[in-house]
Amino acid sequence: MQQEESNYRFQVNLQGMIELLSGHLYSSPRVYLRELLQNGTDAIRARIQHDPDYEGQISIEVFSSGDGHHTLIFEDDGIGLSEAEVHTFLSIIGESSKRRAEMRDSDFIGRFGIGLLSCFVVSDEIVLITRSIHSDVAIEWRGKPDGTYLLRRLEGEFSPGTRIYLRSKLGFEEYFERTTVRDLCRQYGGMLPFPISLSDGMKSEIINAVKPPWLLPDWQHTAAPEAVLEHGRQLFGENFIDYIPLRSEIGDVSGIAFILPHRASIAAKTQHQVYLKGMLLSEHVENILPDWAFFVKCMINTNDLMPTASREEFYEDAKLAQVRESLGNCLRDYLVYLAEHDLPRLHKLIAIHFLSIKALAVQDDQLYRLFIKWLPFETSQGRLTMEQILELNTEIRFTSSLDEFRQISRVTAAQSMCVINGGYVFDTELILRLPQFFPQYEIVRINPLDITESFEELTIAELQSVLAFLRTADLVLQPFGCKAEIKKYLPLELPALYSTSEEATFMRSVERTQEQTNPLFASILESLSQAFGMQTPHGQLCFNYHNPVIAKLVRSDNTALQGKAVEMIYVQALLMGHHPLNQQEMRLLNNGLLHLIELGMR
Amino acid sequence: MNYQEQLYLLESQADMLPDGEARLALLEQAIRLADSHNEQIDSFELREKLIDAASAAGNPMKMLVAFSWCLSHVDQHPHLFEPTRMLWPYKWVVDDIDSFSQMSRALIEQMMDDMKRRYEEQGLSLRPYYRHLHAQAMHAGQQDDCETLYRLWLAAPVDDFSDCTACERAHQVEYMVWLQEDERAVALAEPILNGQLSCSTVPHNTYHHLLIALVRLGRIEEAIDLQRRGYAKIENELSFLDGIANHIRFLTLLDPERAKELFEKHLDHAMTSAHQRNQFYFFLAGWLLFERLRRQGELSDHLQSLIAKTRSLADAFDRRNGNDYHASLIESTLALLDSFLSPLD
Repeated sequence: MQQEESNYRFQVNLQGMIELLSGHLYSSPRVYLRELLQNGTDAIRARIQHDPDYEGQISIEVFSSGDGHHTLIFEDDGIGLSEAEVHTFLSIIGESSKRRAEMRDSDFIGRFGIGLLSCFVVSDEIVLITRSIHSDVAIEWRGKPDGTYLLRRLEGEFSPGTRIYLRSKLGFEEYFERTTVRDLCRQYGGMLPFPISLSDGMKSEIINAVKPPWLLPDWQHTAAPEAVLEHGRQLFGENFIDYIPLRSEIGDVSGIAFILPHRASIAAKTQHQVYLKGMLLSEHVENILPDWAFFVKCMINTNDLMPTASREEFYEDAKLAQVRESLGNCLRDYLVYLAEHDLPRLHKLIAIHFLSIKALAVQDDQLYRLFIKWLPFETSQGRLTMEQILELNTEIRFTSSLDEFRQISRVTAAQSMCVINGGYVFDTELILRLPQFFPQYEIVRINPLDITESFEELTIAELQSVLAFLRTADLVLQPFGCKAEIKKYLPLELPALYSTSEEATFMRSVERTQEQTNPLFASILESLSQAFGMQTPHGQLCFNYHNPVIAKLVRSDNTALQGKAVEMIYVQALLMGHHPLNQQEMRLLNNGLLHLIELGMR
Repeated sequence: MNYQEQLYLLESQADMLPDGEARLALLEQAIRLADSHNEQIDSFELREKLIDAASAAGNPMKMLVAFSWCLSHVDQHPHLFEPTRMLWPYKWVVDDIDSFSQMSRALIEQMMDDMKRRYEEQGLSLRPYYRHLHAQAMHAGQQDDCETLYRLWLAAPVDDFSDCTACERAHQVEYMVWLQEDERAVALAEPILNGQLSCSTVPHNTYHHLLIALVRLGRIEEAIDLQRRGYAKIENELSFLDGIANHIRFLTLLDPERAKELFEKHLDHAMTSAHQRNQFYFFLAGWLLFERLRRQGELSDHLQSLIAKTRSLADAFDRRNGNDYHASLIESTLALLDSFLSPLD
């Protein structure tokens, strides 16, 4: 006889799940208020679907009992739950991906069962009293974290709606304080279209009586800019310099972008406050604005984007990409407007946020044309705007790395030559695009080794007088992969200039690491330097014939002294260029110093 | 300016920047400063930062040099550093070590042994070790080894040094695509595609890995969607050059004009990249693109040099690995033009 198959249900240890959830799904215990507000909002919305004129409200009451515990009562006058719904919604926790697909199309933002779980993070017991508009009977549901619940019908008159009682767990009392509850509810639900009242028995207030200015109709024309900025200050605690209205038809998004009063890091993602149908979804949403928008902090409400399961960001789908583009265009249009109509404000913005604008100009022709002349660059003649650079030069010289720039900035400055440091992010890319917009200019990438070539040559007679010295110097420098040159240049006080390419600097660091690492890694690095290594010599020490000490040194007939001096000048030039010394160079320094002391004592 | 001020200036500038060569240059300069002042702790910590930054900038060479220094430093100063200190970034190093075609098999094996010994000495699971052996076998086209290593990888226990669930799943998906088990790849990718599993590199990689699988399955609409979303995620990330290559390969089949835009945009970076494996995939995708255009009568200067570059990298890898896997990859990639283009056009 075949045995009958039966379906059994898993028993879930709720306590364990709560611990898992509180450490995982919810970023902080305070979100219990967000979940309560979401559920209350859904209940009111559902009731409005039945009765379009219904207005609805949420009331919250907090008080502390003598034993130190706090109690919070959260009440909505929404649609309420029937006995059957209580069983379904409050006792089935978690959702399958199938249900999530259903939720995509629904009008509701909360997930009742899961939302209530977050209350167990702060409260040991949840008591819920509810009456559905479809029923005359009120139900009391008492949930415990061990996974059991009690249900009973209540006698007496109850108006439709839901009331939830929470009692603070040890250590979670702060989440029940009146001011905490007020601030959090304001933050989470400050934009909800119905009143939220909060009372502690003595004082009662409507916490969302004042709407944010940017939610008012036609606010861009009616709201006073000072009032909007003041609103931003209250919200984020920053004195923003301006604001930009945001709007996207797709996703039904509206909002406001405040311009940060300080420079923001491109690396750190700016975090925006994002609301879904008037409820705060998260303060850490990153993916709703384009990457380059790191100069603003936004408040955004969307009525039509889908949050992920953690409800802290949106699904990265095609719709979100379109929203991101529309919002990006709002910011972009603002910048274009400033460039065309409000230069003082544009300069103020560029002074702080030029990095953002550079990031944009790199990828956007129109913005490049509009902004390039205002953008600042570091040059051998100080910080200049591109307009200033273009005015004074027909050939635009730049180095592609900071290191190369540092090597030559002093000598190029002394010769009033303008070289742009292209080592900063976006700068080289911007410079490379110049001829596209200004064909009359030529751009030249400067290599430190080129600079010494442009120095003034010695006359034939002078050259003959230094040949012996150069030979000595070459002999001394040869083991270091360096060759000697001598030219005339400014500044006078600079005895010699060590220059090398970026690649060679890197290979120096490979060699030094090889000296210090274990045999396995030494041979690994060795096979790299063989594959990518430089032809020697890779450095150049260019002595300055104008420098008084060098002028004397080249005439000295003491070859031994010349050799020692070259060694010391070489090491000094390395140190001035921040090139760390390898073991061999370290020995030069030590021996050279001793030798000089010895010479001095003779 | 004294040492502390200079260092702070360099480091804070570096912190402001996104990943890329500019950030590396600032950190290298800070390291040279710390080295020349003999500030060991700064030298060490700045190099750790450089390892992160070089990894994110797709520069395995700079990562390897800084890592070598740090690892030896930990060995030499056991009282200063936890012995596990460099064992997490070790995973990134072995992930890239075989991308240097000049690195001999013997040296790669010695490095893997060294990693294994260090993990074992610290009582850590060998899960990452097997995962990377598996990846190396895959990169070298050694399918038999892959099967064994895949098993060893997934059977090893999970601990604090294992990759996150999202990363592991993404690697499984990559492997299934490589095996052309396309249905399985897509099924395994489901939690990544619906956002349940994610991290700093997931879903980025999965998006571009799946493109070719979806093409083979004839699910072109889904592929087009993934391409658009996926490219946005890695467009400005330098360490995803292989992903860019996958996008170009896919677009070559469907939208060669767009493929050309991507190719031109990333060409400079590809030319200067020290990551030869990624370079190979990029040049190969470029070859495919300009070969397709050539067949339509559009000639380009790029084609000949791409063929030469791709071939020379393939030869170098195959010589090192002792097989002809890369040569066969060239053939199977170019064959896409015959198998997919005619029905799609």
